[in-house]
Amino acid sequence: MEFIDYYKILGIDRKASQADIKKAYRKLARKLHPDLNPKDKEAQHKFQQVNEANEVLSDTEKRKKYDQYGKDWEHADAFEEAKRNQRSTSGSGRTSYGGSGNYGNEDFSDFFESMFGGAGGFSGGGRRTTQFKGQDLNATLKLNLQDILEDQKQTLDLGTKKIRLTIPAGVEDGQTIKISGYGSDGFNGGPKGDLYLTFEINNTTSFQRVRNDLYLSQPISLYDAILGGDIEVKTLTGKVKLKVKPETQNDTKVKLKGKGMPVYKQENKYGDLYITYKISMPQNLTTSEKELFKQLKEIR
Amino acid sequence: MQTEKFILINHYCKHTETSLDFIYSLQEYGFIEIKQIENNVYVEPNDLAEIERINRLQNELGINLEGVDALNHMMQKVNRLENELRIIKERLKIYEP
Repeated sequence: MEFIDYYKILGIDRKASQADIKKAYRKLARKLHPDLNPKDKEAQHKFQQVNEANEVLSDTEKRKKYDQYGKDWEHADAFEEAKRNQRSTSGSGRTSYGGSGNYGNEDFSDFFESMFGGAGGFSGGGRRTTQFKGQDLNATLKLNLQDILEDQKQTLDLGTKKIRLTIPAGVEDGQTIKISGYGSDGFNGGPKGDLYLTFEINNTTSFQRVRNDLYLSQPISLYDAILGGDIEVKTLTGKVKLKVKPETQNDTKVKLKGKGMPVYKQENKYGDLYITYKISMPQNLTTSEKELFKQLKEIR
Repeated sequence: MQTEKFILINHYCKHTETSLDFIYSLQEYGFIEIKQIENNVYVEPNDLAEIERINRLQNELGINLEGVDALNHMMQKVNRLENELRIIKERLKIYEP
């Protein structure tokens, strides 16, 4: 457990007045509030730290104890006494932001709990008691690109319960879906929170995915490029035969309609596969081959 | 038969100590929809999260409803731009693997 410098978190001097603390706190809270940064986990973490710093520094008693024992927090005996005093201390008009209800007592740092006996010690602060819905939960589900070519049934283990769900084909990397009612229990009998499930699509194939379309670089021989020819190209669902037109230039693109990814929640609809021809130059030419190329050069 | 579930506004307000005027003002700004069935007024359960979010923005950050409306537009714009940026980055990977 590390010492946490609450002054540094709020960006204020140790001699800062209560007005300075309030000002610094409000400014940071407006910047880092989870409702304004819903996808930014770093901002949410910083918001918790700022909240915690404010809980301590905006309360004269706690600030005094923090200033006195802060760096020597490991001296448990001294803190036991502090904890006992803490329990009989009421709030002093502090304002504290509850965030989205996801920043409850369990989100205070170990340092804070060690020193002040947990957030439960605070009563009468500005923390709103209007939480209605339970805490939302976040989970990540890792899948391979090949796994999402068809709808897939998965069982998700949340530790306390298991959920069976069907993942629609074509989900995107980073896409989040809401599963209502699978979050934590509600407050005062309120509804349960929701589960936000984010998909992490691992692509180990040679295809590049851009939304529903796939892109592939396909090497072709110089001779096929010049004279034309039949080649076999892989797609995510098997191989297809293609005719290369004579005098095909390097970086020529060919579109294979409907050979891309399935479109999310649209049955039998697929993106396209774009193939870029990359001409492979012959290497280690024999003398007779070089001679033939020379002849070709002279003719041209 | 599918049954629709609604939350009785009076119960919600009593339970969460939220003013009824606040809920009506959210409807006026188009943030939520209120349904009237006989003599009772209801909100949809899906709107509860929005009510709570706006409540927090107002109470915790001092943003009024005009500000929330502007903020919603800005956040939609940010989301759209973030999404576009993600797609463009994916496209760039094709040329700069």
